[in-house]
Amino acid sequence: MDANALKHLRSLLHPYSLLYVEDNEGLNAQATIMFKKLFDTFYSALDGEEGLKLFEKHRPEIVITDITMPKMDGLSMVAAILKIEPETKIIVTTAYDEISFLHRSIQLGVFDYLKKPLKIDEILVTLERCVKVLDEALHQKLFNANLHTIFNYQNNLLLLLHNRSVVMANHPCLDFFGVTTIEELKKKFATFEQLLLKHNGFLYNHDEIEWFDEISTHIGRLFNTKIASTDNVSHHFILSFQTIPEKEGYSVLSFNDVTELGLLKLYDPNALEHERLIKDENMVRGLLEMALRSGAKIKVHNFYKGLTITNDGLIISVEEQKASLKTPYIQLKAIQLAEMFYLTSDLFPLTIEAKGIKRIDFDNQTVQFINYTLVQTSPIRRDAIRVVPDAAMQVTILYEGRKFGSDLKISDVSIKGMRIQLSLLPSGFTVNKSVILDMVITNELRPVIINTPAVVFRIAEVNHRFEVVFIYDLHAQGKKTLIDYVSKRQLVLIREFKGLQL
Amino acid sequence: MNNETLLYDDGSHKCIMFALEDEEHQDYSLSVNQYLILQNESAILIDPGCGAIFDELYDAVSRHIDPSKLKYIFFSHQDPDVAGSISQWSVATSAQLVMSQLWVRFMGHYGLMDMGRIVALEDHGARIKFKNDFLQFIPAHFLHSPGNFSLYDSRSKILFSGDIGAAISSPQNLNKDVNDFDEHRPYLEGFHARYMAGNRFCRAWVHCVRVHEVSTIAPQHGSLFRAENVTKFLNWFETVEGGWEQCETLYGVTKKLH
Repeated sequence: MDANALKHLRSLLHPYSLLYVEDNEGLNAQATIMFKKLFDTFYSALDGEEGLKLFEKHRPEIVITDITMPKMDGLSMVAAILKIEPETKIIVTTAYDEISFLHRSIQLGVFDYLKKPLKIDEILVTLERCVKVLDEALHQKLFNANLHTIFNYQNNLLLLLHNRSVVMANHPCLDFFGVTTIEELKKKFATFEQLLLKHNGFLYNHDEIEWFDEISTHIGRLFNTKIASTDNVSHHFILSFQTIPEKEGYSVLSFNDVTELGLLKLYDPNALEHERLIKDENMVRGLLEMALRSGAKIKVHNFYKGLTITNDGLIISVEEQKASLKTPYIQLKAIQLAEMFYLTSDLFPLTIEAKGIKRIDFDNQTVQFINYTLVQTSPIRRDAIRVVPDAAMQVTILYEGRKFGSDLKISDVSIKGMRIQLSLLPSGFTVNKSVILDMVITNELRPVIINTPAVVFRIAEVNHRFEVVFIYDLHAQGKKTLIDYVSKRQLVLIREFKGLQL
Repeated sequence: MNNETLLYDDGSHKCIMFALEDEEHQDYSLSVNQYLILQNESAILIDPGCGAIFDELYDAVSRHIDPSKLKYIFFSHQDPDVAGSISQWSVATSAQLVMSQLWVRFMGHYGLMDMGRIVALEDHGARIKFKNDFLQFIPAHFLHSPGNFSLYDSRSKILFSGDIGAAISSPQNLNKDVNDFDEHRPYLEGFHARYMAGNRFCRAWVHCVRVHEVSTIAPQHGSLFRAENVTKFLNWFETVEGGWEQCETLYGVTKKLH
């Protein structure tokens, strides 16, 4: 056998160990040299008794044994081994005059037999067959054991992968891809990227993303995918990818078909009905239903005096009139205070704003809500932590050399900007105008002044007052002073929030 | 003493070590190291330390990259000399904070309520890929923290090992490089015997580390192990016995427990 074939067999045998039992010391030593080249883990024994002891200790998957041996003969040992571990693959070696034992071996359930003197090619062929059976059993075991990790798996298309190739799949998967065997599916899966159709925000191959790289570097994340069935109907699947930690290189890919929720157009901002669809409550309910079916971990957001409070959440029911969410105590408290919350997910095209809080169950950590809408401008996107300042913080705005805003109020402050409410604005005061901000903050009873140029980023009207967002780029000590202020204020607000009695 | 050392630079990928703090004790001093990995416009800060060094480390990082561009800040475990500045860094940057899932619920105490900023690592670790390179979070649980990770950078082949490899009062800590492992070893022994949970964990960590090609081990305290000292350290660490093996002594129990 050539070196490459031997190398290939060695890689196949890598996960398995072998026990070799032979009382002829010369034969045993000779075969040991060969088996050590094939197996990472190999044990040898000179009689059945020693063989059984080694088996009990190490539980090798493959046993090759002679029949006639002192102390305990091969067949007694085989019977004992199969009683301990019926899945063990046993290969008996028989001399010409031992054929009568063969019948008994078959009755016991041995995997195969080899005639003595052993021929290397025959051993290798038998081992290769043996590995195939062991691999299939391993894949089946992994497949079954990992099904429970996949939510609502009965309706999913499931594939067990070894590295990037398919080793097992369930029937719905074979049916969907129009194949009858794993071998056919393997061929189809080798070019799987061609099956992933382009759709806004969905997973498909393009300049920056290779689909398998993307899922394997974001384990546990869910992805929207669009795949055409054999009759050319576009299906919307939620794809999830889980590795099997105890078996390196193995993973489970699951596709949850959510086509009938009719959400595909919601992701397409160019679709004709897009404006109408995002206002359609049924569409939002569809998104919640999708999160429910795929068991998606979504993010729940609230604000307390500017501070973002975010935790994971899980949609646990969606009915015609109401939906329920499970999220930790601290988030429920924030929801109770604000009487609303925001939901985001990699699966959603936009942020969901939930209102109409009906019931908060702190014991079971759930909240029931009845109103939900999609919001186009998400308040969640913040690139810096904001806080409502303490009463001691003051700011003066200088615009074209003059102070203005005697009745101003700071809504919140971050290291990048400040939101200020004013009743009047100077004439010509618009977005992009430059000002000077003089902030006075009190750190450890000592007032500190931060003086910085700033630019008007946004002007809005809130409750008959103007709300102006100023942005600035602080440097050196001013920046550090504000970082220190915001981080300390953050701790104060957290303490205040935790202490609230609702 | 120079408190900034360039560990690796190939033009587009850099690793820098800062040593901005010393823990002073009655009978020993323990230097504390912080690390920065930079690739193009992206960066990860490793074990940024306590609040007291925030200003100094912020300035040090700023010399290499605008800190607001930090993509990740990795906390190997929850100790104050590793994670004491979470509040400041969460305000100063928009970086994702990477840590063991075990410590997420403590974040409120450190001053963070936005769990959307956290990347919670599952026990068996994770890999962050960038182009052809990757960062691998290698489990180091119970060595010494119950939720603990080392970080391997595939490009520089540096293993940022956290508390593993810390040496107390070794003369070789002065130049931050171990040049004689056998002389350095006695200074490793006391710390590891007391802080590591047991030999089985040490072997498991070495097993996970040996999957990768490691050119340098960079611990959070003490000196770097380079070239053949990496192998010497791993071979030694495999034999380290910790709390499990000396349980009776630690508890003052005279009979051998089973």
